[in-house]
Amino acid sequence: MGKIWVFGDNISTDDIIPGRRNITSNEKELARYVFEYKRPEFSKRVLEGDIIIGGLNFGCGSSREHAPIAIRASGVRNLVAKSYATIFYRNCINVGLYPLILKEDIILEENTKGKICLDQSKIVLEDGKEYLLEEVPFFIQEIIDLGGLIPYLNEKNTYLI
Amino acid sequence: MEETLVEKIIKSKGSVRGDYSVLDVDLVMSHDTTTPLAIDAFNNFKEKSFFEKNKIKIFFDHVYPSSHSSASELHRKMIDFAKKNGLKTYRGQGICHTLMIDKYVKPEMVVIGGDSHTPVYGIVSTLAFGMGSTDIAACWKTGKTWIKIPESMLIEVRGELQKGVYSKDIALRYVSEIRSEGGLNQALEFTGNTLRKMDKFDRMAIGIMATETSAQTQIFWDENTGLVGDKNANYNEKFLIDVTNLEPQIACPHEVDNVHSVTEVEGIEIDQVFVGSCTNGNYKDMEIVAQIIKDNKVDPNTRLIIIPATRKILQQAMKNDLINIFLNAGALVCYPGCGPCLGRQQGVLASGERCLSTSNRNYRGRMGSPNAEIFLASPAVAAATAINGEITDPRRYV
Repeated sequence: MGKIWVFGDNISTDDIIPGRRNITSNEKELARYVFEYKRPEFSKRVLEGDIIIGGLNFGCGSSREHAPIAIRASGVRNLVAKSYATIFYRNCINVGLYPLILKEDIILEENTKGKICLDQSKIVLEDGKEYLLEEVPFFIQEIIDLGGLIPYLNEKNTYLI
Repeated sequence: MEETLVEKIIKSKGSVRGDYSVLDVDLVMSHDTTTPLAIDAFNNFKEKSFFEKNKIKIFFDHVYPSSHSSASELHRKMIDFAKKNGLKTYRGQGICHTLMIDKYVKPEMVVIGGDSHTPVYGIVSTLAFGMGSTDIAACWKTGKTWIKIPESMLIEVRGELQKGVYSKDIALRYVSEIRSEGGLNQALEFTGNTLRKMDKFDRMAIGIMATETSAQTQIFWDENTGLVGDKNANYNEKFLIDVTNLEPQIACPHEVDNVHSVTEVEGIEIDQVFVGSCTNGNYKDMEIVAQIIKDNKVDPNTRLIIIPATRKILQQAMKNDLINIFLNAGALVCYPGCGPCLGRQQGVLASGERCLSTSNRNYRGRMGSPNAEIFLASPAVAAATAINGEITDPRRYV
């Protein structure tokens, strides 16, 4: 199980990675500054397999793909939120991150751990509580599982919706 | 079946399956923040080909000329990529959106852009979507993109604006009604007699700010050409905004929907005023500022930074002596581009500073220090505020 990092509503791409840090596309460099202002300890303490849980409209603001890349480079593979900003949602898919959507309200204590069961569309917490997630449409799953949009198009040549 | 304008354009430009559509794209736009990652993505294609090179538009405007060696490296990467592949770039001509609207986008086109404010092209009844770099790279190759078909909200703007009140005030007003997440994943369709009379540059502030409601796109109806939604189409929500008694508006820190009448916050001291950006860097904005500021001086404790959106606007402002008016008043006039809007150059805010900006976002940290405060308002409010060093209702000057 991974640590769950809890964020509120309207987390912007500026919160995820400030605009002034986008002068590089070096992934390790971007990972150093992820949530720099919002959660200064995040980049130092995050571990592979940790989960981010956000509220409404996660990833709003600028279209910068640096945001999901910085999250992916920090080791997080699964995001969970009540809803996502449109562009951020696509960007996650395109770089091979799962943007999962909660179907029901979730109550979280500090320092909770949990894991995602993709095949059953749910998140399971360490105290055994389970919460349902929306099913990811098949063609979107295919893009993520192939590693993102470019590998998907390399294989399929076009959008098979 | 009756349809929204967005549904009509989607049906004419692409295939529909359930809630999704694959669209043929007429133009693909990207700039110096989003192109470098698009190049990285493109280089991962096994077969590196372009659908139509003349439909690819690459702009240098966000940090151009560069303020930092790492941004210069990214510019270099873009220049080399464009040269090698025979792609046209637009360097130093000004802000991508203003140039696209001035020259390239046309009604009924489908356009995607590597910038969240790309939906602004809807002000000329174009269907436009902001996307990330990988989607841009994918479209360079395929000429297509996929979307989830948005539901539409209809916003009718009606009435005559009072003196000293402008399109930016309408924009802030509707954002505060819809709220910053109220348009999530939706399309905003605009109509009404107030908007019909506006030229496309005046409409820009309204079109740009749709993104700040989290809308997926926005589009203006054009009754003259019949590009309108059907009367009984399925609109999620309908808003009627009567602007007859609208006062100058201001978005206060740190949320774009924290909107008040300027009269409520008059007197707050301001360290920096910025006039410019894709939202309010047009020629008419320059004129409004010049009218208010001529025969006045910028408060000695305030920086006024003025950046025309494009080279063409700068030249027009020079020809009509507006630049002299700005300089005589004590303003700093910088070269066309995005300026300090995104916090990387030409007026990056220090901790504790307050800025009044004509741009579009006041998130914490957007223009520099996370401990700075950003207010958003019209160029008229900006000019009046620069003179007094504190937030000022512009109606006493016009």
